[in-house]
Amino acid sequence: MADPKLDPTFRNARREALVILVIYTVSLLYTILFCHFFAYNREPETIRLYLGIPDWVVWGVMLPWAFNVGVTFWFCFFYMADDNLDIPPDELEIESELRGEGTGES
Amino acid sequence: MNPEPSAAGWTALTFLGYILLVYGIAAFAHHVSKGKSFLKEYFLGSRSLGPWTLALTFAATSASGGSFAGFPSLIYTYGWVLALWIAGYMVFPICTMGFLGKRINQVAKKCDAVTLPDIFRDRYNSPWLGLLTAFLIIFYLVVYLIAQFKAGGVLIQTLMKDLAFFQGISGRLEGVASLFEGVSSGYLAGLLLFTTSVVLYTAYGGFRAVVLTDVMQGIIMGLGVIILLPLTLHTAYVYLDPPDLEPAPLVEVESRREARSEEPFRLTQFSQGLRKVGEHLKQEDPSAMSAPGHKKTDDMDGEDFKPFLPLGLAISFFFLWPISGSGQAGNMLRLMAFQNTKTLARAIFAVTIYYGFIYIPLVIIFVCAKTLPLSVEQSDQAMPAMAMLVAPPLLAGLLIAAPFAAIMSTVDSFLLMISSALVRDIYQRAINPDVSERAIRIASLATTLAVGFLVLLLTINPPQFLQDIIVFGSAGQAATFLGAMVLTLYWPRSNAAGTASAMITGFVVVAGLYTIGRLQTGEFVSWAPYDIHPFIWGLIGSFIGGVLGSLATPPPSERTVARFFYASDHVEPSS
Repeated sequence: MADPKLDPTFRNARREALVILVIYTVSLLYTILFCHFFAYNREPETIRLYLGIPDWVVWGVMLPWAFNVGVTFWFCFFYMADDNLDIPPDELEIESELRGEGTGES
Repeated sequence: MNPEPSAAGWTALTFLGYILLVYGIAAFAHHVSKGKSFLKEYFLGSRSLGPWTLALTFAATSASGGSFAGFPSLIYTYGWVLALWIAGYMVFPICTMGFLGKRINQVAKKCDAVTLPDIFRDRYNSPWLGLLTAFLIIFYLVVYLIAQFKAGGVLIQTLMKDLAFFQGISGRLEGVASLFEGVSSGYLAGLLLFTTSVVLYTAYGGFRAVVLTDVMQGIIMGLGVIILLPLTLHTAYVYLDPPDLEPAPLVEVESRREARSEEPFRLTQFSQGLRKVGEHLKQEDPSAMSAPGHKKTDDMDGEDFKPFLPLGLAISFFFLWPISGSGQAGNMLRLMAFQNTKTLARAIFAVTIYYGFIYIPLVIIFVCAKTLPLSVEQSDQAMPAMAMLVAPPLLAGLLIAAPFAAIMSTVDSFLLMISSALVRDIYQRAINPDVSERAIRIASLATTLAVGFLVLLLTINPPQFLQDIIVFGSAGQAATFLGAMVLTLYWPRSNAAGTASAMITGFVVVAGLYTIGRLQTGEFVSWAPYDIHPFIWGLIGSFIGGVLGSLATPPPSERTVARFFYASDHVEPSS
């Protein structure tokens, strides 16, 4: 049997899901590691304030949050493929027939 | 002067205006639904969600009452460490919507699925898997609804207890309340008003009404926070003296404040207000400036001192928010209802911006609240107390409506999902496939009403450990459905037995850890081996169960694999 061609929407969705996992992992590692070293058990006099906000909040939470807004913008408008999720009219009949086949699988 | 009656009056006025608007929206939704397929319209809004409606319904449903009551309370108690506690929300939209969104929408359209069980049932041609999913959804959502109904009832009771008409209803319910031990007639009246207002518009308007009211509720929540932030910063500027200023006698302090409040408005007053807050906290409550956070009491010297957010817990929360959010049935349902990929992309970005404008400002607002003269008996009242302190009365009413909007937007969605599980997944697909559309319409309306009032009965005397039950409901739901859905959408080798195994393993692991915790402590808490949250154990178990279950049983047919994973020219109709 010839190797069938994967559905492009499936292929794109899987690739995008992997990129999301990478974004999530990098965000987790940066935030947790930064806060581990700079947020926990600090002496108050060592905390620098930016507009009244502690330095570790600015660099450990707000900066990655802002960075993620940028990454999300890139992901949504430049990386995510514009796949057609609708069923083409000529396939509707096939889909309807397949839904009605009723052969249970275990 | 006692400000209570006036505040209660404004709150009631805002609340009534809000309810009227909700019913107007339900009537509009009902009107729009005419002439469309009832099932798809009532339970899925005919898959017509645009970017803004998808974004706001997603954001509003995800933000339950906790976002506007519990979260502010925690910030008010522990300070800046809550920025780390909530940090997982920086990736919440891209994870919860982007990870499954495109694929779940595509498969739902292929299956012509109206509900989540429809997807599992049709993806595997397995009616019993659809039934299993429906029963699990009903179990989790009823558990969750009991807690939300109680929160709604208590909130109405708190907001309206001073009003004559509420006291009248409460008085009439005294006889009923006396039948239940420890239940007040005021709580019963609040519960009855809450149930009636939510259930009626949900039953009448269906999914479209739920989504449109979510949009309105999302706007109220967003506006509430965005307006509260500058008001809070300005109040901090007026109330607080610069830390380097010499202490002055009380009279002089008051005259300084009066002079500052009459100064012409300048944008720099906001930044000055926040600077003053930072300096004051550094001197007077330094534990609020760093992690792990603890209450401003003397308890840190004794053995009773417990850090609020140890590092392990911070990791767990960063995992819990975005990953468990992906596994909530309500979120998955919304991903079945949008129009196209562009809608999804715009909605993900809109929710990212929305959460940035909600959660970071909330942290700033309630850190400021720690330095302001709030009159609160319990930290749970921090939100209404701040609204009363910094905002004019009508605006305060709007701000107080925000938690109510958050509870309503969660409850209406879950009510409809239970109704769809009963009518569509159990009755139509398992018992009577030939049922007429008219009968489905009547059954759906009746079921939504019946479920609402059944939950009301269960909530009259709610079980103990309510907050823990909510956590169990969310964690269990994600552990049960996330692994099963990921395998269903992304793994061609998965089959019905493996998917059922993923669901059952996730459910059993979470329920088992809670049962062990209950046996060990006598309370409804989970056993957490290696301090890892039960959701994570449940999710690991679910994936292992799903993979082993699929590999141990026959693979799916080539045609099923081709239908869901191959390009359309490789799918053949049955002969």
